[in-house]
Amino acid sequence: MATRAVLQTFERYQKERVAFVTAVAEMAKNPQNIEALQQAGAMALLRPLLLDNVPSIQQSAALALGRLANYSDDLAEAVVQNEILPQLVYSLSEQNRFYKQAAAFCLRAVARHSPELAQSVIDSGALDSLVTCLEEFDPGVKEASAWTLGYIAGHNAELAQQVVDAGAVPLLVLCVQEPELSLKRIAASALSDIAKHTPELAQAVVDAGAVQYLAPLVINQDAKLKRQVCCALSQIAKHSVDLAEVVVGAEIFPKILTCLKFPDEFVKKHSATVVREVAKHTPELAQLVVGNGGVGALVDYISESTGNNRLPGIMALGYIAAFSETLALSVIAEKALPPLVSALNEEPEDHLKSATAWTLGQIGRHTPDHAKAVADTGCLATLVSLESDGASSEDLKTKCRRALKSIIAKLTHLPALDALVHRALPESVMKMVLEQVGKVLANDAAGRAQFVHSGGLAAVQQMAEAPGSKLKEAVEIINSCYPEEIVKYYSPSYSQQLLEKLESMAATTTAY
Amino acid sequence: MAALAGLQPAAQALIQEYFSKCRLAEERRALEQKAIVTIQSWARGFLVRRRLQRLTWTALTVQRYWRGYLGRLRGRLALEVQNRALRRAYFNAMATIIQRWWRGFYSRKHIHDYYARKRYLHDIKQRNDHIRAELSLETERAIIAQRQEAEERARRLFAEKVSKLHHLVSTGTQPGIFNSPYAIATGTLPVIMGLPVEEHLKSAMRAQVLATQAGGGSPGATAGSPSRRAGGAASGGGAQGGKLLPPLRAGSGGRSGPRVAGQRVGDAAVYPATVEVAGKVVPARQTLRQVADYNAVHRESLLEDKIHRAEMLSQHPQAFATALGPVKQPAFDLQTNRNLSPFVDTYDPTVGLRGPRFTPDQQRVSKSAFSRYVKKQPMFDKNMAAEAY
Repeated sequence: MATRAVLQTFERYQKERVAFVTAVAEMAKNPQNIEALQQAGAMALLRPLLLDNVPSIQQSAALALGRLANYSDDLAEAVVQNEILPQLVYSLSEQNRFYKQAAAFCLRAVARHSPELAQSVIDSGALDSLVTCLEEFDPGVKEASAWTLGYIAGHNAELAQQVVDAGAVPLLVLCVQEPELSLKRIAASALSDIAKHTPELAQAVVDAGAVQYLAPLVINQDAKLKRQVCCALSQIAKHSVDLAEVVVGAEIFPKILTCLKFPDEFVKKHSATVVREVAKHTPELAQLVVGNGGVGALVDYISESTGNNRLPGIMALGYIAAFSETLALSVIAEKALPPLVSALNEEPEDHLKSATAWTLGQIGRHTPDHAKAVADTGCLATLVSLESDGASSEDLKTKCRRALKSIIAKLTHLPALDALVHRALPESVMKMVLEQVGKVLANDAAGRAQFVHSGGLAAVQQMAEAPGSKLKEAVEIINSCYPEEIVKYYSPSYSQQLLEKLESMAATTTAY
Repeated sequence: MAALAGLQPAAQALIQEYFSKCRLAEERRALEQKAIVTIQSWARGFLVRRRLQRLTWTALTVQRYWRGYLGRLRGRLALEVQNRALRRAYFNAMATIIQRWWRGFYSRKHIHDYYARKRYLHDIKQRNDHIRAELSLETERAIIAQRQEAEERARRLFAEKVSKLHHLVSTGTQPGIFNSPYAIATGTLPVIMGLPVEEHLKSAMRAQVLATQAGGGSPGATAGSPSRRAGGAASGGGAQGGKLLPPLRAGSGGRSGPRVAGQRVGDAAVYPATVEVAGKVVPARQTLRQVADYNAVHRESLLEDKIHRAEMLSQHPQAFATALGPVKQPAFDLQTNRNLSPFVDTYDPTVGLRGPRFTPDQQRVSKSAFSRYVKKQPMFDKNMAAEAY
């Protein structure tokens, strides 16, 4: 009888503990409850429950703590200060798989807020336990620990180095090969978080053989997996030529171009990023991209997307066109200029406009044909107006100026130069325009007449008359192409000279 | 001698002339001597010079011949050099022309081959078009796959939900909630995916029944059979009119066997003559595993559990104690003296009429809703032909 009463008391206590912990875990799902929970001192009460006898109480306690820590970094700090982390880490190696998942969730919730918190997670010895969890059979445990490692490594290079030193990378590569989709996703995102900081870390990821397992996943139909895989490949390829060649050697082309038209916008963006990171290193890689039909896919991608999603596509085209005139010609032949010009006109953000201006400059700077093609789209006027606009950022102005200079240096199409002469350009650019006009007019007889008819000669003379102008030599060269009377007719001071002459003549006759 | 005398004055004159000439000569001696010396020196010089001239002329002649010889030699040399230079200049010019032509050809053919570039751009264009076509196909395929997956998920969810709602199927006497005659009359019967909801429920039930009959292993069987049993137990354990529930398994242990394809529920079982079990071919009737139903014991225990609980429910109208404490009795209990006083409903069935007191009209409304259950009236008159099905 007495035993029964004793047992009943303990049973009741256990029921209450279970009820409390499950209730707190449920309440912690709702953000409004969390401040109240914190004020009621939930953290201090949950901490001893982590060491409870009953496994389900431990799991629920870990889950509740994880949800609390997930909410804000103050609560995560409180978790760290209450010395909960060592207990979690200790139990991580001992308990069953549900507890391991809950504990890994709690560590992840702490580590995701800031590098200092992630460092404190590492300092409590979590790395070894997490890496051991990666070797478990249960995919849920592997997922949770891979996610945590990904969050830790994502903050900065030192943390990622510590994760790599703990030997996580080969196990993550094994996780990528597992059949469960969610595990593959998270392992891919962890690898991309590790590889994104420095070339050495990316090399460590490649040395573990990640690329040969990530590359075949590019054609998987799951959208989220594709996102992570493309992100990982782009983070690996961006650092150096060798890494980009490793990525290309895994035969991602032309499979990655199919991702450029996948119905998910982040997949498109990340695959355009991969193409950009591969194409930017050497002319051979750019030629590889072009040879696989990348230009057409990129042009379609740019026409269809808007805003920040366009940026990697635009930059990829710029890198490709920068290397040689043949590649630039292929970019023009694929009708890349209309979407680029519309991007320049319509995009609200400055960094997108400067990327577009840079790309246009790279396309137009090779030969007169390229410059004419770019000028025919009418974008030079836009570049001029962006450059002189006060609201543009410094970077945008610089890029517009450089693009204008490089295009004008090769521009021999007289109507385009003519149109530019009438606009208010900064002096350095106008000097180049006038020099080009001089060079072209020296050889082109019909153009000279056209230049005069369109009022270009008059505008040029006015520019020379402006005080303190450095354009005089260029104007002299232009004037030398014409007979003197025509030049005099159009120079603004000539009428004044004539009037003065008249007056002096009148003065002399009256003197007599 | 006269002549001699006559010569005296002449001789005197002569001697005087002589002396005057001597005197003159004496006076002029120095001068003449100088003059004579001068003349002599000039003559001598003339002679020497003439001699010298002859010598120089001979030397000159020798030298002239020698110099001419040397000059001719040098001339020939210079001529040769000039010829060589001329030829070299010519060859240089020709070589330059050849090199110019070769370099132009080589550059046009190999370095900046215009036609190769044209071909390259043409190939690139074709490749781009090809890739674009492929990509659009892939996109369509991906969209279709996504849509199919979403449809699949929705269908699975629907089937899952429907399979648990067997209790809402209409019975012979009681129309189900999805099959109300009012809805049939007004034409507002709920329809999903072309079939009325009632049909979905019925077909789900039929599928579960089939699954149970097809042998013990399918996961739907154990889920289906307890629900069937619950249906059977709740209606008092007897066969219902209009629905043919198969007899309880305890009486027909020998029926199950490997079902030949095409058999329906209720057919006489047709056994194959032999069957392969664990690699050996065995006559069918002799295999224990096929004769005995795999799940029989489990199902029996579940059934007994259900019956026990049903008995408890019917004999002890009190609900079991749960963690929240004893359940409150419903307010309309027949066995108490509470219903001697007029009925005051603590729950307001009508929205917006909350308050501690209700008007007698409101109370009458609520009472009538519950009194129907108390008197166990059917919702519809079962004698009406229009409502029978």
